[in-house]
Amino acid sequence: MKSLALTCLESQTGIQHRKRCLSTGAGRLLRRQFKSIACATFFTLCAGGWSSARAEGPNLEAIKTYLVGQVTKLDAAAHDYEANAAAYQKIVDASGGNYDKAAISNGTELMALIRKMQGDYLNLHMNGYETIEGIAAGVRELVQFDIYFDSGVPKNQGATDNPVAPVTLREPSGKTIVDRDGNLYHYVIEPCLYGTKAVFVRKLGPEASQALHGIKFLPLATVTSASAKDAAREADIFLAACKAWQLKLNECIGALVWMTPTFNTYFNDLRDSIYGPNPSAYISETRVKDMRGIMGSLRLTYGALNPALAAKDPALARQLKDEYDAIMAYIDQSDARDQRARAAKSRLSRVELEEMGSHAKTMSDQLGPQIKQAAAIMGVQIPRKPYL
Amino acid sequence: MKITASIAFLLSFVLLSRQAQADMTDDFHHLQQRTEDALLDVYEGEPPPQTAEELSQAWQAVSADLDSAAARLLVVKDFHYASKEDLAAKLGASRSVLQHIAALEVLENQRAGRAARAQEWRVLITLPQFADADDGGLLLHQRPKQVRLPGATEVLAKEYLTWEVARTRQLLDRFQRAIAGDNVNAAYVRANLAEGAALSDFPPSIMEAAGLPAAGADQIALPTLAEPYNSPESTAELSSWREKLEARLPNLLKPEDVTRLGRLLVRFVAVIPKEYRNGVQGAGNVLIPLEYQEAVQFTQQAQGLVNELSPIWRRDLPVPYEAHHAELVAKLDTLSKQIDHVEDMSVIDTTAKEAAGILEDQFGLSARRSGDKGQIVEETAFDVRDALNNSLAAAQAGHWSEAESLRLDAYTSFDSEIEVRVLPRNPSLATRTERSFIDGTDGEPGIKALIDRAAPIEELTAAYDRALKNMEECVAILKVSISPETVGFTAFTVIAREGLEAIIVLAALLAGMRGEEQKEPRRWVSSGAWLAIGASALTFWLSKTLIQSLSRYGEKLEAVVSVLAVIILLMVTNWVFHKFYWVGWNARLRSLSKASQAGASDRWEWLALLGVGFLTVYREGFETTLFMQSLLLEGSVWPVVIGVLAGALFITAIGLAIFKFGGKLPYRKLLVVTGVLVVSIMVTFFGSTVRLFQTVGWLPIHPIPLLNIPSWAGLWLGLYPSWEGMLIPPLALVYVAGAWLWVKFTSRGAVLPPEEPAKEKLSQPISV
Repeated sequence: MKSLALTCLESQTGIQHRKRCLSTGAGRLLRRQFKSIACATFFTLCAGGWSSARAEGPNLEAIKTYLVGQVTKLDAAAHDYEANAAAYQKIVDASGGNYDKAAISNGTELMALIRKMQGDYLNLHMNGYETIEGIAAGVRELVQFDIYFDSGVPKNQGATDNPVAPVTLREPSGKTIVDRDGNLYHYVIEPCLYGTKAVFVRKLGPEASQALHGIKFLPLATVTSASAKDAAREADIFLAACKAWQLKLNECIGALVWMTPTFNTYFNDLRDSIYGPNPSAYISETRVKDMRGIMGSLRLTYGALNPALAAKDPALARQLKDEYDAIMAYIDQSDARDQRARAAKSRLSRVELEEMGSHAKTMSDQLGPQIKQAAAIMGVQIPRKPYL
Repeated sequence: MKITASIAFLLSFVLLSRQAQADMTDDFHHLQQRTEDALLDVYEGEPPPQTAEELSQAWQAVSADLDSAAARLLVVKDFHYASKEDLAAKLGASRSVLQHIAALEVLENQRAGRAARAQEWRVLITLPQFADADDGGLLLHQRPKQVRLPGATEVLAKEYLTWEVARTRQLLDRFQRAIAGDNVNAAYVRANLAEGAALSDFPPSIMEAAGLPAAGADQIALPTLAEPYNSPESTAELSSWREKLEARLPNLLKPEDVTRLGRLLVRFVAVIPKEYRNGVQGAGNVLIPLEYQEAVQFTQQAQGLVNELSPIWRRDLPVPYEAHHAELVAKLDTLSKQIDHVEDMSVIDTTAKEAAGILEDQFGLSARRSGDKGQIVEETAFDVRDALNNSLAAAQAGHWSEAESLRLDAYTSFDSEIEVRVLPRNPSLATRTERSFIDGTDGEPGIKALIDRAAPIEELTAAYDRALKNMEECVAILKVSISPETVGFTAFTVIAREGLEAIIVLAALLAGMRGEEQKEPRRWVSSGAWLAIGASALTFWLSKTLIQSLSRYGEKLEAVVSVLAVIILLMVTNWVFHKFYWVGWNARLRSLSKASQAGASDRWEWLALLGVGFLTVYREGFETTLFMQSLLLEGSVWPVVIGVLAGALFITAIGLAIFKFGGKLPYRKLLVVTGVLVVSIMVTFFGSTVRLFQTVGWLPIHPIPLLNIPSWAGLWLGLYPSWEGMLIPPLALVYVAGAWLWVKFTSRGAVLPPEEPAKEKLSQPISV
């Protein structure tokens, strides 16, 4: 079933790949007719089977198979991170908690472990959670994991539509490291492994720094250990929850309604990462992957619903499919433009980003009412926003 | 063989047309994509040389798919350009023209009964944010006969106009923000101006289909904005152009929509500084980004509403429009910039107040509801539903205090606009609904009770559903108009009921003040009562203005007033009981009477007597005025006046009878009865105050699971089935008993003042 889901995802070709007929009107018509007549015999024979296949309804199992497959990978990455964090902790402990000493005596091992942990994080986040965020963050049964791993905010910023991440980490001694200070990925693991938060790293002395070829900070082993244990524990629960999840049609439609507008923010984030007060190449790159992951999982979700809608309103079903395809294509095209600009030692201009943002908003604004219309036609009531 | 051939032909025909449709959709998408690519190429630098040719071909492909002659006339054929700005303008305009073409095709196919084809074109139309696309979609799923009806044409045409009018505004809003953020260049400006202009230029046949007059034939020239585009001159020129464009947009707003949007605008402007205050601390320091973002968003929405309402104001309010519209736009623009720059709270506050002042003083807008009853009730019900849904959502997220605050919002909206109207018609339903917001009834706990104990989600959801169901029942009752006879009779019963309550209490208080020597105290009490009647009349007169201005404090105000009343009542009861009932009624009364006659009495005691009379009557009078206001909302003036007069006559007759008859009752027994009555009133007063405190969230609710008390017990005895509601009111009894014991203890050995001969048989204190 996993291969079926992936095949389904891969088979949804982008709008730019669709074969087009751009010759004269008469030629195009003849070609259309030829294609149609050629297909007629085949379809005449298959008509019965074709109709019954259309009447099968949504293929929700494909969504679950894909989800469980991706979360299994995420879970494996979490346990790998746990093992690497334990090894890292062991080296630091062997030096009596002295990071300078550890760097001088075991610098190579430490750096290798940090790289491995960074790789684990990419598999946890970019290649893991982001590929199913569109589904998990859009349904009530799973949204708690979205809040925990990826979207929850610190306790002083919490609000109804901005829930607090219930992440609490402690050292083995019982000392609190994190007490609901934001989600596990962006507020703990990422700043610790990439050294962007001073309290999660230890500054090295000149000699230790030299031993590590100029590296000035090392992640605190207490933080990597605690966050790794927590990530592994939560990922186990997440996987079990995904396996136990009984998909409902209205939840899948809800996921589309609530998650598609996230596309709006992508180009604004991209612009801020280039022209904002804190430019960041890392954010530019990761947001593209984020968007591919989120929108890809939404396209997969819609793909599973498409047969049920197509049976009632083929035009709308086709349009929705095309629009999700178009969003994926637009992400690729705009990324290609960005890459092209970078290759020419430049960046996308503010005006281009404005246009891309505006176009992205038009695309996702369009989808919202159309999904609602689809829900009305299918007689499905859209659930509340999942974290509400 | 013939049959097989026919089937094969039929299938081939069906599949052929499906194939043709697939290509139509592809052609349309391809053209859109090609246009977007070309625009990005223009913004990036020079577009590739084959751009014009490719665009023409893409348009040709779409043109071949068209059925409508009007649509074919709009096809863009020439994409040759002199400059890249020129190309950008053509691309911008063509994006909008494509929408009009799709709409014309929808109408063409709908008229021909080709519902599926109409829907294929309809789904291609670009929708604005939050568009409602359900009705048109469902309409095209009807039988071909129904789809072909002229009414369907009008619905589809109006749907399209509604979408694209909203999209024109959203597009221009976004464009103006891009300019303000300096994220534009000459090509971008030309493309967006042309797109906005073309989108607002609806084809006459669509306008006609919607039953609206076609816009004038005059083309609105695009402004020639100079760099920098965010300079005051360019901003002003753009605003002026937008205004002309907006004036051309079809007016799809009904008068009630205009009222609602105006009210919404005032609310937005009022709420901006509040959100800003919550989110920002000092200049430049965003403390809670979400709150700050809300302030930003409300400002944008306010600007959007001003744009939407401007053409209506220009038509309906030409004088204030000419004098203040530009000023209002400038104020909101300034506010937006100040918020962007995270300026000090005081600056934001001043600008928001100035904008609100223009809206309220010059355009006569108000955040309060007005209009017919049905509209008010419906809007209130909408607000209540919204607040309850948000409250439930907050509770589900574990934000209990937010859930409680939203519950209170919902309750106060319900209480002020719906409950008052339902009460005269169906008091039991009104009370039941009210209780579903608070403590609930047996086996069906209310929302507040469940929030207080952070109940599980299933229980909470059920409680919210009950409250909503009850409210819907109230709304349904209010939809049925009330007859003048019913209004008159209700007015009569209200006056009779409230008046009777006041007379009984007054009679109880005056029972002990018989005889010539108590004439003065009686006069003070009676004066208080007459004053209260005057005050009630004044309250009625003021209630439309004063009470409304205080109504935002709603139940909280009532709770505060209630506490004050309880305190006064305690003092007065204490004084009356001690001095008149226990320590020597006659003696004290006589001394008071004498003292007052001599002008040497304690002024506090006079005031107390005055206060007793005043409070007793005003309490009922206040309630009566509120009832009368709600009856006036329900029916016309005359039935209410007649009902009030009849009620007043009835009460006068009853009052005279009671005072006359009461005078002949045995004094000792009467004092006992009235003493019990006064204490029971105090208990009821305590009960209703506890209830109010629970309502506004100042006291928790701990329900007593197995105790079921009927609603009337709450109404008449002030008893409600919660631990607080059952335990606190009887404290009044404890207080009275304690005070009696205290008096007994302290008066032991004290010498009573010499008594003067009295006419009454009883001259000794009542032994309780």
